[in-house]
Amino acid sequence: MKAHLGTIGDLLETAGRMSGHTFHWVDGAGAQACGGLTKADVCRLAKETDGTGRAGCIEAEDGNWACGVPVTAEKGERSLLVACASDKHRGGRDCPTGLLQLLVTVRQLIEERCEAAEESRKQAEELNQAYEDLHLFSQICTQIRSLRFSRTVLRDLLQEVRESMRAEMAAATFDGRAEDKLQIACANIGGFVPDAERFLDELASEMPRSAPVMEDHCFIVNCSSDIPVFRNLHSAPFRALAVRIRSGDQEYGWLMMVSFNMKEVFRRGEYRLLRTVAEQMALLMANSALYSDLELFVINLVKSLVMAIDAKDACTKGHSERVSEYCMRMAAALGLDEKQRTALLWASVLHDIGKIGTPEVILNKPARLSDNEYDCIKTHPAKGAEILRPISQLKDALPAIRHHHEQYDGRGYPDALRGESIPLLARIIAVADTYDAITSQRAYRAAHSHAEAMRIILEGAGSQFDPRVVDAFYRTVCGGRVAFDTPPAAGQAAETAKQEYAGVRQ
Amino acid sequence: MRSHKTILVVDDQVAIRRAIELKFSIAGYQVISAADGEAALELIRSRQPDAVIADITMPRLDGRTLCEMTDGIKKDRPFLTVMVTARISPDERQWIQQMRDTLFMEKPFSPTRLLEAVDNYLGVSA
Repeated sequence: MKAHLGTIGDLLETAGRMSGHTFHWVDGAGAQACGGLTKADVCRLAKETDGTGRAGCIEAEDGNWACGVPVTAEKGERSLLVACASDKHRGGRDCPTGLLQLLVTVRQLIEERCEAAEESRKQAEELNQAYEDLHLFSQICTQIRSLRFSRTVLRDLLQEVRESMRAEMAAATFDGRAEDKLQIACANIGGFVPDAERFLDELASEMPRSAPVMEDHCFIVNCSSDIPVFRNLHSAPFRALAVRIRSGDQEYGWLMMVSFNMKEVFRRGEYRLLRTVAEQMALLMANSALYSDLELFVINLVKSLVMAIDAKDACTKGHSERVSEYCMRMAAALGLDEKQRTALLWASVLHDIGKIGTPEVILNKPARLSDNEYDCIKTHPAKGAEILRPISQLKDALPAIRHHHEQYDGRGYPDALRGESIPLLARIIAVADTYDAITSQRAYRAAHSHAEAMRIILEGAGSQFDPRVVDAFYRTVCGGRVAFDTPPAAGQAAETAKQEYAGVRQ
Repeated sequence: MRSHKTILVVDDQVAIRRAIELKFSIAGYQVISAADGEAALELIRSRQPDAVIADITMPRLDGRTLCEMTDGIKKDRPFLTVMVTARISPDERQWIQQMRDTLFMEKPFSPTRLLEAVDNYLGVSA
């Protein structure tokens, strides 16, 4: 009532000027003094008009008289429109006709104004809610843009929806997942729900069984105390909304809202919003699953390719994987970025793929190679890059594959590149590849020790290898130490070994 | 105490103005409003609001000019200005950063977030 006084004040004043009385609009029930009337006067006047809806007339304590009509405004709240006369003349028991007409007219105006104000307030409220929804949608759109469904994205999303719906709990459950089965966003409700996980888990399984169906795959409990199974879940009444997260025939889980605030209800708009969020989530999960499938397919394909190389040479079994492992450790030490690391991962695993085209007789020959045979071996880096060229996703890995047998001093192959003109990823693979070749058994010799391999690599820093990469290798693979755990080989033997491994037969 | 704080809402669109007015008056704030920048400037001088929520695109005096003109007043009597806009302009954030006690909110904004921002600045809680 107070909210409208400002606008209605003018109205009362005008009516007062027209009639020569003073007009007041007062709360009928709580009776307050007004004009020359005391609280008791107003009470009496209110009582006279009570229930009849008609005008009342009293003689006030100060001897003046006053008339009033009941006003119904603002959700039936009782109030009183009073006209106080300033003279002691009393025109009989009833309200004078002219004044009565004025009172009724003013009452009508007040009621209309209140109604309009109420209408406008409702509209403003709806607009407010529409703004909240719109804001939420724009937030969700931003989050849904990411291709992968991460735990943080999901939690933020739940938190956002929960706040917007003014619920205390929001949860998403996922069928058939051991890990991340349940994601929860909770308001700060202290120990009100001691075991939130269990509560939500039970709710998720009970909703489709026992809750009234709204539409396909949507369930609502407006008051938990009306349904025994839900009443047993928590001693305090709550309301819950559950929507299936599904895309096509694929079902992923449930999206749920729970609120213990029973003064409010779930509105249509909120329900629609929750459905939309669930749909978007399902799409995202479907995308995510497709993406994972595709990624797994590629990884398995590459594994098969690697196995194809391994099958040709029993001695090199596991070589590609080990080289890759060393490379990735160096990548971390060298501070490579995500893109470079991905390229290095593929390049290191596939660096020997070109050996598919090398005859097994040569690969497994237990003796020194002839010049021709050696030339044949030397074609494998370029061949490897050629084999993989059609796979555009691997294009960043190709230079590393092609050049992994180049040497820092320019004596390598196939292009005799030198120094920094050799791609960094190729320089990294060169070190890892050499180390693993030396420490593995070969058709023509036994495996050498870690110490020998390290000696050769350290000696090759600056000539065969990039010293910076050797340093990274030294730090990461050896854990910062060179373990000369076996006595160094005799000078001559070491020299022979060094020549042998200088890019010839790895 | 929200009831001791005055919020000025400036927007030429009456519906939005009403919505924000309602949000803040229900929360307990004293709310005054203006439909354009010039009227707002006058109210800022005469009524000294604790926070001003204004649209950038407005007739007579736009939000940016209003901000620049009131920036000096804030030296002696700081108050919060929240600029709300649907306009997409990359330099918007930049000039707003130069202003004292001024926040930026994109439309569609959340009225609840808006209220939170004002509560935060004024150090009041619900």
